[in-house]
This record gives sequence, C-alpha cells and structure tokens, in this order.
Amino acid sequence: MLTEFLTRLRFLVTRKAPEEVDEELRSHLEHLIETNIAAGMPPDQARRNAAIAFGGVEQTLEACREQAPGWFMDTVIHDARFGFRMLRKSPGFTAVAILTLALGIGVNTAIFTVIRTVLLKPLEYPDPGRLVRLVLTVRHRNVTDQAFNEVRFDEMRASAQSFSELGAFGPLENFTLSGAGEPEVVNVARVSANFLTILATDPILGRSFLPEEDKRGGEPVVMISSELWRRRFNCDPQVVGKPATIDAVPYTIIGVLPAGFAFPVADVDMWVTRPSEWSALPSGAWRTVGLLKGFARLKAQVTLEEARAEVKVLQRRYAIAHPNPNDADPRVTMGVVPVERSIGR
Amino acid sequence: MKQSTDLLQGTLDLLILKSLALAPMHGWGIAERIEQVSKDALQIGQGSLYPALHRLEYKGWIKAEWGVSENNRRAKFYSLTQTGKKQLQTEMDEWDRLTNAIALVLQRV
Repeated sequence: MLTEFLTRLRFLVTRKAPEEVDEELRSHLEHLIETNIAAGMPPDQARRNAAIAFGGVEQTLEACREQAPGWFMDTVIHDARFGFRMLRKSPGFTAVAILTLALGIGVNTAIFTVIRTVLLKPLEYPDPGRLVRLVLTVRHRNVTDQAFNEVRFDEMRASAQSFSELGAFGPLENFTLSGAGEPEVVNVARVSANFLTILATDPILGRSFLPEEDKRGGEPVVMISSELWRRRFNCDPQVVGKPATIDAVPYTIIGVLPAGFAFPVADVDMWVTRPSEWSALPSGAWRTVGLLKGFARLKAQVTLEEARAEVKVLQRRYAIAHPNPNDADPRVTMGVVPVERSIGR
Repeated sequence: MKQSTDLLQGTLDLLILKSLALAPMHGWGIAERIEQVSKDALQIGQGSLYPALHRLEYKGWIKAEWGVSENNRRAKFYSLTQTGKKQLQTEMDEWDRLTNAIALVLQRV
C-alpha cells in the first residue's frame, strides 16, 4: 500500500520522457518487421504488413500518458498557461475583465458586510461570560432544559445568592397586532421584567419593564423590536406611550430594543411581561404548569462552580418542600450552564 | 486472421503479471508469450499492452530497465516488484473466486 503510494508520488514528480515510450514502441515495430522478413517477405511488404498489424502509435502514446497519476493536471496547467498568454496578448480586455470582477466582488462584499452587521449578526450582550441559563434535567425521561413552573422559579429567585439577577422567559406566542395599519401576526416573547438588566442591554428608546408590571394584573405594557418599529411605526421617535392592540387587548408601548436584539430567539417582534401567563392555558394553570426557563447573571465574584453548588442545594430543598412525585424525584436536577452553549442564538 | 478473444476488464493485468513471474521480459516478449501459451487464442495488441504496462509500472507492481534484446536491439525489460508478486497472488485468488462463481452459475447449481 505504502510502496504503491510512494511509487505514484515519485512518478508525479519525475515524469517518464515521452521519447522513451516512443522508442519502446518503435523497437517493437522493428521486431515485427524482422519477423516478417525472416518469414520470407520482401522488405517493403514486411514493413507494410507490420505497420498494419501494429496499428496506430499516437493513440497508444496518448493512452500511456493517461496512465500516469495526475496526468489531467498537465492538461489543466496547459489550459491555464494558454489562458494567461491570451490575457497578456490583449491587455485592454484583461484590464476591463479584472476591473469588472474586482468591482463585482468588492460591491458584494460591502453589501454583505452591511447586511450582516445590520440584519444578520445577533447583538452581542455585554460581559456574556457571566450570563448563564438554568437548565432543568429530567434524567429518567431523557429531557434536558425542561420548563419549570412559577412556584419553583419564585422560590429559586427568593433564595439564590449567586446571581445579581435571576429571570425567566416563557413560551413564544403568535398574536395579532392591530391598530394603525393592517393587522398582522407578530411573534411575542414573554419575559420577566428584569430581562434587560440580566442581558445588560438598554432600550434605544423609552424604558424597560418595571417590577410591578410583572405582577398578576399589572399594566399591559409592551416593548417592540427595532425591526417592527421601522416596519410598522416608520421609526416614529414619539412611539413610546402610543397604544398597540395585541389580540384585542390594548397595550402601551414603553420602549424599543436595539437592532439585532435576539432574545430568547431571533425574529421576536414584541416583548411582554409575566412569562407564565401563556394565552393557551386558563389562568388557573399558570402557576403550576411548567412553562418557564431560567436565565441569570452571575455576581461578579461568584464562579460557575459556586453557582452550580448553590442551585443544587436549592433544588434539593425545593424537592423536600414539595414531596409530590414530579418535583421530589431525585433524578430531576437543576444545572447552570454558560449562555454561549445553551441559548439558541 | 485469427479472431482475438475479448479480454475481461482487468484480466490483461493478471496475464502480464503472470508472464513476468518467470523472468523479466520486454513488451513484445510478453505479447508473444501470452499468444503462444494461449495457443493464439489471446492476441495482445500494442494499443492495450503498453498502456497496461505503464499502468502497472505507475502502480509500482512492475519495474522497467533498459537492456539489450536477444536480437541485439535496445529494449525495455519489465520485471515484477515485491509488491507485484503479492499482487499477482491476490489477483489469481480473485480470478479463481470469480471463475468458480461463474462456473457455479453456468452449471445452475
């Protein structure tokens, strides 16, 4: 195997001279002629018969060449050389062609760079190293990042010391936005009021949510994306305080988020508070059904390991306080993972 | 003129390797030897012989050296390499396997 490879490699570097093949074939032909003469033919006829029997030499030479490893590279190199010579011959044409290509590539790169920064690239959160997700794992059902209920979240938030802020987000909703202009279906994310504090992001217009807006029966307020602001409100600088009707409920717009803000996923148009108030469930179920996923910002001096240890203790305490089969199962564990490995961005 | 039997793909390589197993030979020697041994049933034209020799040489199964032929002409002598000897055994086993299989089918066993 290795020998074969080395042999091929050697022949790739040192080619056999074509004359060598030529001489080999000629020698064969002469042998045929001699055989014919020895059989009693006159020299002319011997030569003729031998040539006929022997057949075309050119095709054989060509076929021999094509046996060499990488023979087609020769053809490619020849083509490239020919192309290069042709370009040198007509410098005017060459200049125009190169200029056209350069301009085309340049303009496309420029456009793509702009589009990427403005539209495609998700916004970087400041100090992302301290941003974590709380991930509930249900080992015996092979589920990671299982959503948990508000009771668990509230108890966790009340006791945890490792985080400067602990928040939650709920299921995405599709609502109909009406009011000025055609009604349209928008993606709405449900987040806890402190979500921008955790993400260390400021609205470009207006303010973020207040803690009282996160409580049951709090004011219906909404933050909107830059994209929606541009598309539906024509970048109106007076948009804060304006009404927006979402599924027939009158909300008040309180702020606009920066372009590229993608939390918890991309393409969210609006953010509202009270993450567990999922419209698909009756209000009686909001507190006890698992709808929330947790995220948090680590305190400056707290390490990931310390946070993990604390969350583990809190989880065990929660299991003891709620001795029902779902919550108390020791195979249910709460983990802390850095955001770059867990949020779908 | 005798009708030459069409060779199965890859068979020529095997025939060449087998011919060279006895002694180094030049191109036309190989062709003549195959013709003689097969009682003229197999005619190897130069158009397939030389490409095959080159292919085998590139694969490292045979090597070539210039020498002088029996009638004092400069000729290229081919001989089996170590790899070539192993390859000959492999190809012969493969051939046996194939012919046995075909025989089985033809006898409709």
